[in-house]
Amino acid sequence: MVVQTASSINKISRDLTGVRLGFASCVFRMIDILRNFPPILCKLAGRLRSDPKSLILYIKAFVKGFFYAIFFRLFRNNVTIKLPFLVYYKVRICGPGSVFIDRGCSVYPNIFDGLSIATFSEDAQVRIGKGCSLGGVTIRCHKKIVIDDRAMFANCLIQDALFSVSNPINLKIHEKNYLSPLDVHIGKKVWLAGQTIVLRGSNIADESIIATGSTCFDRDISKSHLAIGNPISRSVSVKKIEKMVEGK
Amino acid sequence: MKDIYAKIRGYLFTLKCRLMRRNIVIGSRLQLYCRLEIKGVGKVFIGNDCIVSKIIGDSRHYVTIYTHDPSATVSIGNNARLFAARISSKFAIQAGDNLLIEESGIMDTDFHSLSSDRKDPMENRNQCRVVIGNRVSIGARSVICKGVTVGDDVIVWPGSIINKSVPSGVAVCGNPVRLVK
Repeated sequence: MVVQTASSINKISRDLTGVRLGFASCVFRMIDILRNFPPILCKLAGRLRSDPKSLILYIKAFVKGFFYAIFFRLFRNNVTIKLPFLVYYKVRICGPGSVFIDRGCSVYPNIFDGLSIATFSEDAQVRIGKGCSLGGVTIRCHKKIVIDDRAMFANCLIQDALFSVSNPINLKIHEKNYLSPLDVHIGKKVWLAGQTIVLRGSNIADESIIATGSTCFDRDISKSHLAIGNPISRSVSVKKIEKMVEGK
Repeated sequence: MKDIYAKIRGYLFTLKCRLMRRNIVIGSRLQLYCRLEIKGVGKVFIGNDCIVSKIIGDSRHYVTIYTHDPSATVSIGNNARLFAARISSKFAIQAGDNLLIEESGIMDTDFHSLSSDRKDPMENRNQCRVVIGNRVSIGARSVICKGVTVGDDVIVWPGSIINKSVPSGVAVCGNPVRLVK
């Protein structure tokens, strides 16, 4: 209906070739565009009604993220951030490697810690998917770290090598593989709880959970499993835990 | 440029310690990339060619060495690399040469007793001293507790909590510690 009215008004404006009617058609077009995004408007209106302070914070975070994205686009060629990027706290990205953050990510404060990403070589590659919440995450990358869409993080550490800054001296005794960096992959909708450490060679599948205070390395965690321990010894599937809770 | 600045800063820090604080003895060629905070009246010895720095990407971390008793001693050997290390001692902490610490802590006391009144604990100097050998490297977010001796050539994985002694020439991980196979 709206489209039809707008087009009819356009026709009238063309016929009359008047400036005022042209302006009116412009306004109608704007309304048209706004009506094409009802979910966002509904969300904003709902927020304004329920909690006006949070809306102000939301807008502030949006603007802050916008400025971060512009800063990294102007001064760092290796970093690309896509909008919207909601920043409620500090973001710190440094190092020569390439960093890619997809749209819809948000950074909340978590134990006085924002997002900090450090890359230590030019081949290093960090890739973060859509809609992740990245409060309190520190990432130190030598080779490759991939995080898929909608992963959720508390205050945690993700490294793909044992020692990030400098290598240990006693290399002759420990001539094993574990001193070299290995890729890290974190799947969709993964939840890393607080104080967890994800080290080299860990491969976490979709929808799985890692419990508080556990470390994960050299291990594949299968889909929708809960992993506990420092280091992680075994993982339990979420369906089994639900059955245990129900008492069957 | 940064290295020259760090060397000058380290030289000034050693001069300041020599003049103002006699309980701190630092060897030559110290490199200070970040703040080094030494508190307390206990004795602190640091060897030659040490590097004190923060980890790249963490702006708020710096190196702290605290002594909680006049009889406490902290001694660190030559060629140590301290990246965002936290050392706090009430009795004695002794570390060898070529030490590498990365965002982790060493302490040799519980600070209070485990009973409910939280009074001073009954701790011995012989029980609680921490001895670390040569060429030891400690990963991020790990803790070395009281009364532990760590041997030579040990690699401590990130996130491990060392509450019992470790032999030399191994790699350890986890809480409580176990050997990496």
